[in-house]
Amino acid sequence: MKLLKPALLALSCALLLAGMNLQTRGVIDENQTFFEQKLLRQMVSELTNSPEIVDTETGYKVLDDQETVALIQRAVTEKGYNGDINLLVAYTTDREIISVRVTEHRETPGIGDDIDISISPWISQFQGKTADSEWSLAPAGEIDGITGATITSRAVTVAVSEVLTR
Amino acid sequence: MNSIARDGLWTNNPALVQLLGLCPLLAVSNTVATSLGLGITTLLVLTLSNLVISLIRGLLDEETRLPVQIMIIATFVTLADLLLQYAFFELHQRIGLFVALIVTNCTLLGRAEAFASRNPILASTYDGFMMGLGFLFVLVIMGAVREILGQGTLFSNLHLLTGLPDVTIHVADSGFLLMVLPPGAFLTLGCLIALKNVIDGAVR
Repeated sequence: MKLLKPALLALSCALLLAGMNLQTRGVIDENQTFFEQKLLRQMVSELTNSPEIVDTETGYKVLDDQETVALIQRAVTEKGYNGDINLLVAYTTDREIISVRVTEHRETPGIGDDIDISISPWISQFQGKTADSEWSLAPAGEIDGITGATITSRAVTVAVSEVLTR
Repeated sequence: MNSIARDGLWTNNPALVQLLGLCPLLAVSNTVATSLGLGITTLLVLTLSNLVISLIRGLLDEETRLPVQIMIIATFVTLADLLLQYAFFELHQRIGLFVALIVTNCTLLGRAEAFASRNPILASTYDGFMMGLGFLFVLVIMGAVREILGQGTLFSNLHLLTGLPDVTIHVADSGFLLMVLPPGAFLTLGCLIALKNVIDGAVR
């Protein structure tokens, strides 16, 4: 019977957490969708102001007036400096890049994290590129690498170009 | 009461003297915003867990006391985690990983075992609050120092916490990378401990 009191305490903790989970779950899910949608809308904001965004298997379809105007694809590369880099790539139906965003990465703070739009505008240079662009780092190609983070810049560049050709 | 406050804030400060909770202290002290977010969460969890553990201190015996204390701390951490996602979703995206780690912050179990399980409710709650405040103020100072030296900014992303307009102050165009990386955290903490010792020495 020694365990009766701890067990009762554990039960009350569990009930408390279950109750709180029920209370907050709805809003938390809404928050998640809201911030996802906000990012996606931002990505195609130059194309349309009132996009309707529909989930697809590999990303999202952007509809404007019932018509598909752009696609947003998820991409991931393991060729970064430290683990996977997760990307979202938005492009028009003519396969021209609208915007690219990094959603998750563990690149070196202060060097490789320039791929994050909140830190540096580096990633906006992909805008307007197509499958015919020179997808390698300058001076050979059209993409300016990040100083000190060649591996990171190359990984992102290749991952973005592969989205257009897949 | 006064000695409890002095203990938590200065003489027995969890971060500067007991050197407990180093993992979150070093990991999230990159900026003032993340420091403040995790510091306040820790303060609340520590105060509430001390309160409850003191409340049930008569019910438990030697063998089951520690697991029950950890369970109570974990419960409050999970509650805090849910509430953060509920109210400060974007901030949670940045510090979420470390919120779960508050459970392993030795300050919490340390205060539960050393103080709350053998003192009355009011004193225990006050002890939790003061220890949390001591941890919070060291965390925020570290955040400010590392943010200014490492990024050249102050209060960046604070609007995620306050909901008010962005108040980022740009001190310099760039900073010393070292201060953003883990070594910068150790260096800053070392300097703060040294500073505290100098002050203590001067007072004595």
